[in-house]
Amino acid sequence: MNSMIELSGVRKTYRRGSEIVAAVNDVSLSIAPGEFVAVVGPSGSGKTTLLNLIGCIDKPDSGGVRVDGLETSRLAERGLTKIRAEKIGFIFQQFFLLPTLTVRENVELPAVFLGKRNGAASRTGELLDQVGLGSRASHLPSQLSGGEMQRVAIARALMNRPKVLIADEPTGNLDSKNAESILNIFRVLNGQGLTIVMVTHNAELAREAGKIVSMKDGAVLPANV
Amino acid sequence: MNLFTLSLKNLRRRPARSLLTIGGVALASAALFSLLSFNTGFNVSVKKEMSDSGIHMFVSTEGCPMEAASLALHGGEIPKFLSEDRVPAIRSVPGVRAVTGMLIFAVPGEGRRMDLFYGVDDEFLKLRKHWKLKGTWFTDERSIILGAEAARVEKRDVGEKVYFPEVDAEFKVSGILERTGSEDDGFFFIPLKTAQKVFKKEGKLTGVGVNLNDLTEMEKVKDGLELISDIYVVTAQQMIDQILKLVGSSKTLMFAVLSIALIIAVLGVLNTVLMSVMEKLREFGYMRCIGASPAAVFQIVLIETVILCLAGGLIGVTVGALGSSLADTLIRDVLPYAPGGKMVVFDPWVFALTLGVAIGIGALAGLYPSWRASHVPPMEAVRNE
Repeated sequence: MNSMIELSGVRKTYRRGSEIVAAVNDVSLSIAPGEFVAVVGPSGSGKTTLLNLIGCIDKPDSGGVRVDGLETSRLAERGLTKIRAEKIGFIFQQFFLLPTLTVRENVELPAVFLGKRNGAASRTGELLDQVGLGSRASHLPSQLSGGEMQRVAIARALMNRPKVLIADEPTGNLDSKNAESILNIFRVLNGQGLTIVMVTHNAELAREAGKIVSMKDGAVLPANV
Repeated sequence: MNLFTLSLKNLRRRPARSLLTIGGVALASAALFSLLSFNTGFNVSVKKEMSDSGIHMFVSTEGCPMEAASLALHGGEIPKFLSEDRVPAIRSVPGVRAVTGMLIFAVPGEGRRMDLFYGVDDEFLKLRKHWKLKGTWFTDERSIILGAEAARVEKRDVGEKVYFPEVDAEFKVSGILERTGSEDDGFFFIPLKTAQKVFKKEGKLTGVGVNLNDLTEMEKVKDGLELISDIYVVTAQQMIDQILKLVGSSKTLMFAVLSIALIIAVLGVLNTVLMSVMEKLREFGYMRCIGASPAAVFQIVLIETVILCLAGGLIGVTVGALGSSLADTLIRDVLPYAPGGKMVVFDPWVFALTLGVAIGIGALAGLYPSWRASHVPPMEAVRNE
C-alpha cells in the first residue's frame, strides 16, 4: 500500500552552544492514508521536530521525507510552500488566529494565500458549521473561548482540503471538556479519510489514535516498548 | 478577503501608532504640496503680474532690474528722479506704442500702513487694458482712482471725497478699480500733474513705463532707448529673470528643508513598519506554515506601508489645499520678492505628484521591512512551542 507519509533514515541536528544535538536521529516511519497517528514521548524527545519535518516547515540534514508521494527533503522553498498550502493543514497549541480578522476571515486565509478564493465563502460556512461555530463567523478571536479558538484553527487547517492534518499539542491549552470536543472533531475527520498526525502528552488522547509512535532521544521506539 | 484587507486590518491593531505615522506623512505631504504649488504658482504669478502691468520696459534714472521691477509693479520711492522732458524722446523711438510717466510716493498712513500714491497720465490706461473701473477715469485734477482694497480700507465710494492729512490734500473719487489680485488693488491713483504738485516734484518722474507694438523688437527698441542720455532701461524679461534668480535661492533653501522633512518621514515610516514586523515575526512564520509564500508576506507588509503613506498623502494634500492661503502668507514673508495675487495655486498635477511621492515614500520605506518579513521561516512559528 502506498504511504501518505514516508520517512527513511531521517536525521536532524541542532547546534546548542558548542554541542550538536540530534533532535531526530535515523528515523524511518510510514503512515498510511487515513491513519490517525499519535506521536508521544517526553519533552525533548524530538516529537515536534519530527512533526516539523513531516509538515515541510523544516528540512532534514539527511534522509528522505515523502508526503503524498512527493519527495520533499530536496524541494526548494517555492515547492515546500505549495505543499504546505495544498496538502497539509496545521493546528498548534497556541491557535495563532490573527486578532484583527473575524472568525470567517481567519478560516478563509489559507484560500487567500493559495489564490483560490472562488467558493471560499461557502467552504468557510461549511467548515464553521462542521466545528459548531456557524453562528460565530463574524466574531473576533478575542470574543471566543480557548476551545472555540482551537475549533476555528481546525476549520482553517481544513480550508484547502489537505491530505494530512498536523496537530502539535492541540489540546494543550484546553480543559478536558474542550479537549474532548476537539477529539470528537478529529474522530469525524479521520472517519472521513483524513490522515492525522498529532503530537500529544495526553495519554487518553493518544489512545484514541489508531497508531502510537513513541519517541525518546530523537529515535522512534519499537512498538512494544 | 484579500491581501489588501489583511493589510488594512493589520494597521488597526495599533491605531495610535498608525495614526501618528499617517500624521508624519501628512505633514511632509502638506509641506511638499504647498511648496510644489508655490513653485508652479510663483512663476505664473510673476509673469502674469508683469504682463498685467502692460510694462514691457521700464525706464528710470539708474538702478538694477530688481529695483525697477519693484518700482514698476509694487511702487516705492527712490531718491533720484527722471526729468519729464525725456518722455518725448522715449516716445519717438521706433517700436514704442505707449509711454506713461509715473511719479510714485509712499506716505505713512494710519498705524503701520504705507499709502502708495501713483501719479499717472492718461496713457497709463493703454498699459492697464484689463482694468475694470466702477465710475470713470480722472475727471479733473482733484480726481482719485482707488484700488479695490484701498477703497475698502478708506470706506469710500464713487463720488465721495477723501482727505489725506499727511499731504494735506483732498480728492474726489472718480473711479474704483475692480479687484485685480495685483498690487494695484492697494494703490491710490491720481493725475500725474497733481502728484507732482502735491509732492513738490514738478517736472519729475519716478520712471517711465514703455509698451511696445511688437515684443519681438524688444532688443531693437532697447538699443534705441539707450541712446537717450542719463536713462536706465530694463526689459520685462530682465525683471522677471532677476526676480526668479533672486527668489531661486530662497526656493533652494525651502526645498532643502523639505527634503529633510521627507527623509524624516521615510525614516518614521520605516521605523513604524519595521517595529510592527519585528513584533509579528511569529505570526509571519505561522502564515508561512498555512501556505503564505514569501511574496505574499512581502506584499502584505508593503501594502500596509503604502496604505499608511497614501492616507498621509491624501490628508496632507487636503490640508495643503485648504491651508493654501496660510502657506501663501508664510512663504510671502520669507521671499525677497512676492508678486500680487495668489502664489500658491491648486494644480491637479501637483496633487498627483504629491500623492505619487507619498506612495513612493511608502514603497521605499516599506522595502526593507517587507523583505525582512518575507524571509521569516515557517519554523519561526514553532520556535518556542
